Amino acid sequence: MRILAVDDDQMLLDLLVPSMAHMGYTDVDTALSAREAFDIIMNAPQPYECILLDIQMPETDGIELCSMIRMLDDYKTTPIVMLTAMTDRAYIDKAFAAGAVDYITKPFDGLEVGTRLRIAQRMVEDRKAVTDKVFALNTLKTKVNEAYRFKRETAISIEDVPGVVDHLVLENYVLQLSRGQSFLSTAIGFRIVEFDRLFGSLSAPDLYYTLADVAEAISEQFRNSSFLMAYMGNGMYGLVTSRGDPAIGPELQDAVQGAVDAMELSTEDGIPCEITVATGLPQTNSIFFGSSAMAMVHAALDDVRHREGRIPGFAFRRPSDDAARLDAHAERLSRMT
Amino acid sequence: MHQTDYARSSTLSPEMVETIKSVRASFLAGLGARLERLDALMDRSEEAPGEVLPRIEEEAHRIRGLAASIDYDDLGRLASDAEDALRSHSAARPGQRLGEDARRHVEDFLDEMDRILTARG
Repeated sequence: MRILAVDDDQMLLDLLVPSMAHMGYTDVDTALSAREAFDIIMNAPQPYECILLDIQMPETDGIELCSMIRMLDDYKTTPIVMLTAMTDRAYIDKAFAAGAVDYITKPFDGLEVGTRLRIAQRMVEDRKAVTDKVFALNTLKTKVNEAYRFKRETAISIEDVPGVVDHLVLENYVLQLSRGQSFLSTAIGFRIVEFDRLFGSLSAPDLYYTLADVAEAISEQFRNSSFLMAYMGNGMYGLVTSRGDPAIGPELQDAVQGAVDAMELSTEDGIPCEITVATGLPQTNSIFFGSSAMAMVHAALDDVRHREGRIPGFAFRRPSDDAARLDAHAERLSRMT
Repeated sequence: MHQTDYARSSTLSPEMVETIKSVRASFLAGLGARLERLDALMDRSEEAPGEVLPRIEEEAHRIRGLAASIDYDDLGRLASDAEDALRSHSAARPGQRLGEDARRHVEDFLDEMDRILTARG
């Protein structure tokens, strides 16, 4: 795997490069600034397969550089792993929103670096297998329906929708949330109703673009939030945001459906495609009966799995005084962790 | 002579232990100059806090990221405390003089650098 490691501290690179070599990653270039890194990327004979970026660097920081790299066609899906001494959620959230897929906290040891690089390598391989199929189909339309289809349950990666990441990235993010941070998060599920019917009737490109359009309709509702969402397969989406996000409320279901309806979706042949999107109840972890942050996402998907759209009389729970008290407790806990 | 106890050396290859020793030696060689620079910045922190405090924060950030990886755990922790204190200060009172608590964190951090230099002899 060809790797570019960027950090403004030469001594840190002196430590990092041998650590990676020890784990079998020997094809590594380094840069001491965002500017130097971007020059190297633009002049590289072959695109890098993984990029490690320090978040805090003078002038252009790692988050900004990450966004710039993501704009390049060759780097739409390249794993970008952030290196950070900052454990503040705000920094990490910004990095993920800018296109990072994982992060390593400094000070680090070689074992952690190796583990993270192996995850990145797996992402490259998994994503390549799925997205290659989807995009190859897009350009070779005639072969699409015969040669390649993704399975109903495949969590394909949706590109170019704000806040939408690969399901592995979302899982990585959630798994790395500390206990305290997970209490300050909410997961919510969305589902395309009668997805089986849609899956059976649409061509692979039509299906992909429908999934992307629905993702965009959901993403629009969270445009003022710091959130991450992924397509999880079977017509379902999982979204993680801050607890108390004002985007989550009684209007969300109608807002998402309204955005989908406004798109007037149709197949490439012009056949109208009516989509109903069900919105689940937000799921949080209890500080008293805490389970893993990933369980919260699974609970959100379980909740929406059988919903058929809007439920009469259905209302989202609003934070009560008790919930506000629990939030305050969770925040204190977060500061301690 | 001070013997370094590489706490993680049981999990590291001999090559990595050598790498860490080498980076540690480079770090130590530059530590005196670094401390002088930081002391000079602290001396100016009353008259030009808006200019010098971000530079101290940047230096603390770098040391925070590196120190524990080369077995200077205490220095890494104190750099981390200093950086957090400086960041909170700049968010709450940008361009103003350091409060007593933040100043104490920075001084503890500089004292630890001094202690390491003294121990090296």
